[in-house]
Amino acid sequence: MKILTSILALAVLVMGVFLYNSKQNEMDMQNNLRAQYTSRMTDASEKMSELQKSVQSATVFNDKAAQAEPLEDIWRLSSEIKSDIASLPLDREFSKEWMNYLGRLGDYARLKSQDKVPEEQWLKVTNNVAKNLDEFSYEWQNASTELLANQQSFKKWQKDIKKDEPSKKWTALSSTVKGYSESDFPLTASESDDLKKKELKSIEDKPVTKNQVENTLKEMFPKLKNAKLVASSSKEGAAYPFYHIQFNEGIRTGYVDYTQKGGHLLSVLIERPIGKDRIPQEQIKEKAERAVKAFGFDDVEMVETRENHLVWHVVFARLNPTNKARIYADAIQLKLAKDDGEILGVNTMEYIQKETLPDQKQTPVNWDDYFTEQVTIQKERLAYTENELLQQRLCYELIVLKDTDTRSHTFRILVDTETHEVLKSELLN
Amino acid sequence: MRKNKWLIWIVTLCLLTLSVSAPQKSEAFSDQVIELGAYGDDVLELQARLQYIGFYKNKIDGKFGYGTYWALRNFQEQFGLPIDGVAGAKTKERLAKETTYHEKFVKDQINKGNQFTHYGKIPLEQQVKKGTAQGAKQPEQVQLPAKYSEQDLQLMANAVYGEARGEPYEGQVAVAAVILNRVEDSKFPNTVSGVIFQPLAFTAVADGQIWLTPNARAKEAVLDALNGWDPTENALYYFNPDTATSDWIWTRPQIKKIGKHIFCD
Repeated sequence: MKILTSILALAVLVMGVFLYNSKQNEMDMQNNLRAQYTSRMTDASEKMSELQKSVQSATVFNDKAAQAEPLEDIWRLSSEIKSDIASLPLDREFSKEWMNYLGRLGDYARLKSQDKVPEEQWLKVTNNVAKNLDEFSYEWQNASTELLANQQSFKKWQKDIKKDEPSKKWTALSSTVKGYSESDFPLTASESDDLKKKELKSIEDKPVTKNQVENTLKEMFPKLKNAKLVASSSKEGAAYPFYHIQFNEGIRTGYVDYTQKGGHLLSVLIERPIGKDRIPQEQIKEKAERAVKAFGFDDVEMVETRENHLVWHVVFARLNPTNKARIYADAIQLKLAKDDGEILGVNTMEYIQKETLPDQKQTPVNWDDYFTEQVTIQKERLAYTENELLQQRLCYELIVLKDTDTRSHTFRILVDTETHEVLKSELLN
Repeated sequence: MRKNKWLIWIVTLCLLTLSVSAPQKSEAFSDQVIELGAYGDDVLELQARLQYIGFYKNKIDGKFGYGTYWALRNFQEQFGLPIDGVAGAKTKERLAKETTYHEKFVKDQINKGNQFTHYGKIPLEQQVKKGTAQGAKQPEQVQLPAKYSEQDLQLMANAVYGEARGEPYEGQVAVAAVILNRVEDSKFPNTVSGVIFQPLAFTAVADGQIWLTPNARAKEAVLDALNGWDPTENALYYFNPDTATSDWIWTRPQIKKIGKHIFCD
């Protein structure tokens, strides 16, 4: 009996120590987390004040050199506050709107420093922003001071900033910033075009029925001719209406989406086990070429192939018929099985709606002066890519090799044919 | 008899010609012709052999990228072969003749996560620099579009497995696509890790399921999303209507339902 009592007492003691330690660990973690969040909040609050001062300064100077520092500060501070906001457990709507506003402000300052924003427009926007930031900065400080001042539990603190029990100040900030995003930074024409492309706004084809797209699917993929199909329409919130078909045929399952206007293929993915056989790369390329032609995409060129352990991914880009330049934004991706080259996926989302291409001058560049002596140009062709203003620009596309004694590096560089600005520089594997 | 002799001579001559002109299978490598974009053991051997005689200077990783391409072209030029950057039978045969491939050494170093080279004139043991990931299982090498890294793939695979491992394949690609759509959207952090670890963004981060080891299917799904597939048609959010506790999520414009998740803008 005595022994049993001792064991029981010991067990209770051990359990007690264990519970105490667990509670202590939890408290430590909560305190650490709260310290991190508080630090981020106060950091954002201070930077908000600095940002507001920088915006004010930027509107004071007309001289480009004098304006450079405040512009750089705006870009840096808006990016840093974005990072602070992203790391806080804030209400989703609130953080989304703030990130958007700060992102657009930072981009705007960067474009201004590159002389890509007319002076008149700059003054109009920054005067608005300066006024709004005055208000924001004050409100943010108030809201964070309120949170810091209250000696409350961690859970209560989290609830406050997550808006489960919203503080009025946070709610006010969230709705105000949304309104100002729209008024201070209305979408530019290029941004609007970009959104239209993403939302397939220019497709004016006649609507097709579910039956029609089901038949199209079976024509495109004969192996699915006896597949069991479950078709549905997109929900009301979709930017463009589409049919969503899920299929099942023996070992193959997958989905396909077609637009309701015109029945254009958006994307398809087929899942099936992949065998151990491997067909040669050349055959994979031939099969991919044949497939895009059979699907009716006859204005594209293969631009990239990538092998992985089960499948190949092959990328095609549309060619501009007038100058044969590649339009990378109008791309098609194919997925092929390594064992027999069966098409397991097609993605034509970007290809369906053509990019608007500019009439653009081509002036020659002296590449010897443009690059250092360490590099050699291996390939040169024409291609389109988008600039910071989201406009498609005709470019010289160069594959450039920098070879040293220890390593070789290959770059893909796109240089605007008119302004000679580098629009893209990628280090290739 | 004289006629027969002539016939034997002609047949012998034909056989001899055939044996000289027919492409010979190299002792090394497989039968596959490999070129830019290829991946696997043949590429590993190609890189190691090219490095053995000093043509290839980059990391031996089994991915036929531009570094391998230029090295191969230089080799072809120096040895009087057609310069096309394609490793066909003749190129492989010549390469095998000129070099030695220490397959076990190369594969051991890769499996151990060591940094190493495979130059011919230096003792192999002097060409190894032990990696910090000693003993850890090395992730399988993958080829991704230039703007993504293997770390992105790994993080996303963890997130997809934690969030949607019971969902159909399409649903897993969809979760990966939502992460990428957020990276591209100015209202969210602009890196994969920033998006995944944004507080309150993903349940799997909050409940620790993101740290489960993802399976091959989750990785495959992420690979498809990184290569451009987006079954959500540009969604930024998703939720499970049976378990969602936020009223706000129901206010988002809904696009599509895949498995148990509703995807929305």
